[in-house]
Amino acid sequence: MTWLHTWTGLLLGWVLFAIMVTGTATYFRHEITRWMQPEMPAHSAERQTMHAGLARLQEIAPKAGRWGVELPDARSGAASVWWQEGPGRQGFKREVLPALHQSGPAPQVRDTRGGEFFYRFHFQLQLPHPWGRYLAGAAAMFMFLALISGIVTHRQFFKDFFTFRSGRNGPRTTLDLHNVTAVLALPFYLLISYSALVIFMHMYLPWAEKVLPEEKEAGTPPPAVKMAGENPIGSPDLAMILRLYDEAQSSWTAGEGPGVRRLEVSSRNTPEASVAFSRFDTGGVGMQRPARLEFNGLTGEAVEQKTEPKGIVTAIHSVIYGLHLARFAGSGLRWGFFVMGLMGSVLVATGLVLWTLKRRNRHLSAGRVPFGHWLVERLNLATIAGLFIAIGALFWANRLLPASLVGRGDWEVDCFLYAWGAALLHVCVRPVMRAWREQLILVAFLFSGLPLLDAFTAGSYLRGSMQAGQWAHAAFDVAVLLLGLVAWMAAVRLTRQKVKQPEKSLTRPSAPQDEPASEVA
Amino acid sequence: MSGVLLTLIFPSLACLAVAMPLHHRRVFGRELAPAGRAVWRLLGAGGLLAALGLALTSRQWTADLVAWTVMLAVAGLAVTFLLTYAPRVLPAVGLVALSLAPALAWWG
Repeated sequence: MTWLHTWTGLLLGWVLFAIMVTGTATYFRHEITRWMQPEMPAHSAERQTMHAGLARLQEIAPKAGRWGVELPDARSGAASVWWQEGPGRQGFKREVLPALHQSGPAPQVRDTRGGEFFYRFHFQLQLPHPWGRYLAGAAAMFMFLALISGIVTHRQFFKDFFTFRSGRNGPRTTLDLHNVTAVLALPFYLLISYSALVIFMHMYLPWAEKVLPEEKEAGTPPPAVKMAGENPIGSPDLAMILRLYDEAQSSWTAGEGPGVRRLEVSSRNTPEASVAFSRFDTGGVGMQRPARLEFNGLTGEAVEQKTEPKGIVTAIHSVIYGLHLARFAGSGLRWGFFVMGLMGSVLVATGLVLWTLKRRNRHLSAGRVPFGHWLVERLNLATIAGLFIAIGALFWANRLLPASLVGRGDWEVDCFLYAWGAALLHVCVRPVMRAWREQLILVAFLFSGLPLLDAFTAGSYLRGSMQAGQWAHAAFDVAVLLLGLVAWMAAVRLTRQKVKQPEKSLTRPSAPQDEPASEVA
Repeated sequence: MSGVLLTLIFPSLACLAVAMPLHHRRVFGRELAPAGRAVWRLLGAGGLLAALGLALTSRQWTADLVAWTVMLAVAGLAVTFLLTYAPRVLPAVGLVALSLAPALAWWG
């Protein structure tokens, strides 16, 4: 079992670490997007905003076949409008609604992938479809195996509960940190690794739909809507849409729960014109289709909703999917998930480092560090510190790249990848402990400098954000400051460690002279 | 609800921690008596069960059950680090957390 735990943890551990860190950031992806788009105006989810959205659509897309208005929620902040003038994705356009008290064109919001980048990266890994998802699935399977074998391997499961021996004994401290983070959040790790497999089970086990055809029917997409016709009689007027909005809003808010979140006008200028309102229900943990109220676009009469039968497998799948995404979580619980994600990242990182710490002295007393060990040490550093350098570079690029740069969002991602590549090159040419210190100092600089950079480039001072009630922005600044502080402390701790010279000189495959064993043991 | 659960779970886990001889010595500076161990365990388990009961009887019990599990980990981490770096303050922090629970419940 120890053998299984060691190798399932190591082989895809680097991929798993990247998945854990970016997945943890995903819990706050809307907040990250708001920080990365400081120009984004703030709206309230009210009738006035809906009216402004419709007026904007009437002005810029009078002949579009489909219209939509997305009202903001507490996390997204801004309302947007979208329209479709032709079939396919090319005909689909979206625009952020200007602030209600402002007149003129739509605000020029900088092009960025925002928090969506972390969300996509954590299961696609910036690889071509479907290989990223397959690799992420393999990493999830390895994690699940490592967890099960780790439970069996960890002999002092209860005796060591709440025990963390912080001191100069590096391997002992690292092992304690590995055990503490593993044991305390074990249900969370079992849940996310298992649910990660279940979410894409139709990819990993494509035969399931043949065995359970009724489950496939439940997920059949609705029929395609018609594009715009030439008959202006089929176009519902704004007054009628607002009246229907009031009706939908009052019927939903009369009970308990959220009001209208989204409007969609389909098949405009055709006899099949329809107006539909939807909202995202809260309360359950499972993924739910938005509640929907649909009206005839010509007469304003309510259209009866067909409820699709939901098989037991689909129901279980939706609960497991919902638990993984945690969209049901309020702000307190979301922070809890974030802390557990950080604990998971520490768990994987300490596991990777332990692999080298346990073997290092043995190799040093033998007088030679094998290439495999040399490679794992470098990959550990390039993954753990390198990923944070890459994330820091992404945020700096977001503030420093010109707003008018074509393909700006892609440039930000390029900066992320180039910075990560540079971190990998750096560890190949530097002694590993010096490289740790240098990269940690760079992480500390990048993260702790972000609030200052934000103040200079976007004018958002931390105190100003708090006074303006922009808590998401302020929380982001505080979080990166704390991350920077942790990186500083780690760099200082590494610098203060006493260095004893090894008795024998080391040989190692084509790399600079390494540091002595006592630095890590 | 997450805040209420955290303020109930943290002192409960602290009780379970001081029911262990090693941690008891670090927190109180004296050995743990066998009768004391049973009392601490009872208090800890009772607190955890009370928090679980609160989660299960709420209207959004599915989400609150998840919150209970999440707060177990968060509170466990806090107890662990307090035991490591400031063991003597653990009882005081536990009492403060417990006294905050009704206020947080009232605040909603």
